[in-house]
Amino acid sequence: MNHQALSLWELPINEEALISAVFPILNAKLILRLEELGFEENAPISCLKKMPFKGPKIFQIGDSIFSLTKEIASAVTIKILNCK
Amino acid sequence: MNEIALIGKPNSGKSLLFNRLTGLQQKVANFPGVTVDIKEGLTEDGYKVIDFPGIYSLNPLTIDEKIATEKFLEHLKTSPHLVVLCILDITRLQKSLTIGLQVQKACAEAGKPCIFVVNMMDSVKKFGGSNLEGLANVVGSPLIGISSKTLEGLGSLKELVADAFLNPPKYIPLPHQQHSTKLLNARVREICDIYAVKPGFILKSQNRIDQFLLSGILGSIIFFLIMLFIFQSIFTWSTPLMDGVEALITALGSAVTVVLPQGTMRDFIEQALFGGIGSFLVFVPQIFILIFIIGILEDSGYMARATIICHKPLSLFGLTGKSFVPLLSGFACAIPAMMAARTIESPKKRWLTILATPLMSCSARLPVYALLISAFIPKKTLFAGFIGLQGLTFFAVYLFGIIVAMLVTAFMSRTVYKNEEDAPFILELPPYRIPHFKPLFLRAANGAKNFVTKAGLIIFSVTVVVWFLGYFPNGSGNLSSSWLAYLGRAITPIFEPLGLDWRFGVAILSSFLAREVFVGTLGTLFGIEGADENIIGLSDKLAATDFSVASAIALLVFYALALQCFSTLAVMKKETGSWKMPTLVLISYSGLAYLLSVAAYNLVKLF
Repeated sequence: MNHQALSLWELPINEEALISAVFPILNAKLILRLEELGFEENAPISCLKKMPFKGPKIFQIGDSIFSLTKEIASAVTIKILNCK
Repeated sequence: MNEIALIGKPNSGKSLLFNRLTGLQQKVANFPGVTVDIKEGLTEDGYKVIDFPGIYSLNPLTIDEKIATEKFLEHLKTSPHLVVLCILDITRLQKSLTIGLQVQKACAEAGKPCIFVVNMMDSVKKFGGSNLEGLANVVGSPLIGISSKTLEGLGSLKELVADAFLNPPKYIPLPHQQHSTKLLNARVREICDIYAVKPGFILKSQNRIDQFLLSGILGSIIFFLIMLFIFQSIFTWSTPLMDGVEALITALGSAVTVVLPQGTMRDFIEQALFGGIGSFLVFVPQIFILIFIIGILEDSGYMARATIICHKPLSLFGLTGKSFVPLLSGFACAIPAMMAARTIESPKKRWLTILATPLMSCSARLPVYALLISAFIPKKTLFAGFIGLQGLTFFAVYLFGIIVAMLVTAFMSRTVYKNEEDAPFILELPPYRIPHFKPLFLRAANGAKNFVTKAGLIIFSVTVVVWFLGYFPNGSGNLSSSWLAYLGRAITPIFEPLGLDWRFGVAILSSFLAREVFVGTLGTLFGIEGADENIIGLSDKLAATDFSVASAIALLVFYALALQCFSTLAVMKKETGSWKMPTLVLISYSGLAYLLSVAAYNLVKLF
């Protein structure tokens, strides 16, 4: 199994990944909120859609769908699981 | 009094349940400067139901969430007879349980009964339902499945609540251990792995619709059509209702005053009293319609998609996708538009949206633009007859307002509001649902009532003051010899750099009531009866004076930017919670309007 580390913003559409970490460049309250929404280590996440002109992207995490801007999605690191 | 507190994550069907429990007996408590609405109502059994705003967690992220959380926790501690109903959305059990377990822990600490109400059971029936008994055993609190949409389980819920008031200890959760977010999430995941409906089933249809509504071209067309619908509804379709309200107030005024003798008292009652009441009641249909339509967009799930579509372009100017609807509504009237900004969670972006709204050219400015353009802009055509110069000027004035609004918000977001706390853009896309019209109707009625009670008195008072200034000292209603005219003459030096005489000073002063009053006042001062309906007559008269094109352009610039509408200021005060912003906006927009109109006057004079 080959792990490719990227930021969540770079996750291609319809690909699944596992969250590695949320960088502390975001404020503590925001990190806590992301964790409460399920953005935590090893949580599976997939990108469903991206909007034109680098607008917010749409992600599915658990039973919910969220839209995040580049600022936030770039602070979340992921590992794409390429089973070879 | 026995009280029921409703709490849960946003879009969990909590408000619909509140409406099912309380019917029409409800009131809304607002908090100045924030969008937090805490609703209260009475059930037929005489219980008081309190509907707290939807929150994702008891660890607040924004000021609105902080107030909502504090109010809930305060209530939990102080209310002697309270049962907490924590609403879980079975289609989004994972996110619902995160807040659910936090609420359960808070109830345990406060010694208050807590019941989990698992809503939207109708949505999971086709997927085989859910094992609620097992779920109840795991979460350790009484739990009941309902559908506030189909009313399924509502009777059992009422029985359970009645029992909880009779035997509170049975419903008080056992003390929790202090959980970290990681442990809480792990427990939630563990529970959901067994008891939640697999998200793939639920989200499949949502994703399919999103493929259309969020796709580049088709999504943009649908967005454009929906926005066109909103604009039409507040700009065109509300007009007959507004005219109806105006006609009704006028008829009532005439009916009351017909029995009174001629004189000051009769004029006061007819013009100031009924005119003052009419000056704010006339906005009610527009406010009602806009709040109702915004409610449909929110409850159907489309508002979140519209927000995503416009977020990027508006974020360049410090705004958010949710600013679009208020800004669009501003072209009809700034008053409902500023109230529509309550949908924006981020206080910073809400202030910026409110700041930009008065710069959108509202319908009240149309008669002013029409008068000046028809009097002074030649009826020439350009581009082989395809575009008229007058139409182009109209477009330019509207565009000018938009550009200045965007520059103002871009500047303010990078300077004055730079360090202001902002809510991050994390937006959950709710499932698509068919809205329920009764709660929407109540929400719109509450919004209209809120406007009448909070802003109505201010608008009424200002209307009466301006009437006094225009009526006295002669007591004859002769405008050209009134105190208002005296003030107009006193401020003539201010408007001389624009090539305007005292009559325009009076018209500008009187337009603080409402901008369209400018036309009527000028008509009176230029001896044109019924100038509101006879703009051409007045524009011919103006064109025949020594009033120049440069002055007309300067006035267009002035009216595009100046904030001369007291009703707008009153609503701005209501929405921001103090007079600080309205005062600063009045001074700065008037100053900017004046400086740019002087510049425009001198520039046009060069040609």
